[in-house]
Amino acid sequence: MTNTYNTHTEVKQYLMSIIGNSPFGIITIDFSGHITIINEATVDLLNLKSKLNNYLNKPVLEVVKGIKEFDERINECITEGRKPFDVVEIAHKRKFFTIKGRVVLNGMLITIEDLTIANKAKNKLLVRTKQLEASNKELEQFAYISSHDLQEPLMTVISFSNLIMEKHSDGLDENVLKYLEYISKAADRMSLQIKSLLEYSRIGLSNNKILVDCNLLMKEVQQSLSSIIRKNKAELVIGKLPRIKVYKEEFISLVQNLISNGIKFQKNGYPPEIKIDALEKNGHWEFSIQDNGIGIAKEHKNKIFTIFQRLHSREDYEGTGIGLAQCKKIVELHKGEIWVESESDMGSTFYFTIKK
Amino acid sequence: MERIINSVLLVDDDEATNVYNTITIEDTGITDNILAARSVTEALNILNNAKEDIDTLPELILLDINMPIMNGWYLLEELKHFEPEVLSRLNIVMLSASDNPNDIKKIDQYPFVIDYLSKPLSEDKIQKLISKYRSKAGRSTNIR
Repeated sequence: MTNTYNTHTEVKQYLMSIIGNSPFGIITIDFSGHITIINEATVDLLNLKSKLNNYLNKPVLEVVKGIKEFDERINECITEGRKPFDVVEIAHKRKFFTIKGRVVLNGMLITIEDLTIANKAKNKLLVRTKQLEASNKELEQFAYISSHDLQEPLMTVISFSNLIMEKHSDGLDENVLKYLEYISKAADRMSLQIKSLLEYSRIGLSNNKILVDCNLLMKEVQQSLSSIIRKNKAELVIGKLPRIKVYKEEFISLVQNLISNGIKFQKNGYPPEIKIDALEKNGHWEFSIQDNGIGIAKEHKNKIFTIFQRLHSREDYEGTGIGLAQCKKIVELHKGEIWVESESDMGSTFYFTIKK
Repeated sequence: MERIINSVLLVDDDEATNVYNTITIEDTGITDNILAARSVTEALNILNNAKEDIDTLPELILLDINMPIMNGWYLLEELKHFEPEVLSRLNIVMLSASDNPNDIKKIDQYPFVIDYLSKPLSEDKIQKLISKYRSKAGRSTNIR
């Protein structure tokens, strides 16, 4: 310790003012456990009734009463020799304290910290966390059950409309057949929607992170996208990618989603060109997936990550409107961020980060 | 396809599904005898009666997983108490409207469950099922 105070009196006054104004309870005791210094905060915290001076030279255990663990530590210090101790988060008269003892010149220093407010907040947080976990579980359950229960009647609609169209269409009015087709197509779409909703709700539930080589993983992705790549004459340009720890299934579907979006949202007559790359940044990898497609207007940049949000009619571009919401959820599962840089007609670049 | 199965039992609480599945199986021509049960209790009654004369047991059972009160799994648990010679005759296919990965895993616990199909049923699915299990000689299946 250094100080700028010169005389003994100055130093003493200075130290006493620090102790006196400390928000922590401060007590010092001698070898036999008698109080040599006690401050205002101690009196406040322990709700003591007498004046400060009355506690001087009293045994500390007569002042800080009724805390078993503290009693034991102090008695050990008196009988077996002084040693530091921490009595952590003890409940005492509707309050929570942490009391610490440290060895100092001629005795011990005892500090008392009031953790009542922090403790309340912590408990509240614990309860909230439990509630949140329970409601998440419930939600997952709900998604499952409702998807199943919605799927089943839908299957009946699909089955019977197909049955009529395939086997009982003779003699039916052309309009009736057309209407049946509308019914069947709508039901198919709804079924697909429910399935993707279910997938969305299941992101991150099943697996653990594993180390993957993204270069190899990209081969898998290309494989499963091979038919739409061929059909659209798309070209994929893949840079050197890192080895990272990811939730593999989810990560594949993230990359697959972004690439197939790039292929799908293409200007008529232009072959899609998709560039995939990764940059090492501070603490994370930044992936980019760039296309030469129709682009996204500024005002829609944030909207696109919302579930069921579509910017185009189904006639122009097919889809359930779940893909990018799914991507966002997957990136967030990896504690990363996802965003897009784009202008109408100028292609889009989707970026996402994955923590190292 | 020729008639190769003595009878098929459909277990589904939904009438429309049973009707549709009956039509679909009829169209494949694999059997003339299709029974439908609307609950696990009804299915158990049919099976309990049939096991008195083992040859009348339905050789193929299509079992819906999700049914009220007693679901498909419940029926499977009940079947565990049947005599081994009865069980060896049964070929059960689980049917579900959603492909729940946990359900698919669960069927391994029941040797008499031979497959898991997602709804809706189709002639194609039935035919694939039959050829898949006919080619597996030596299995505990009696589908010829």
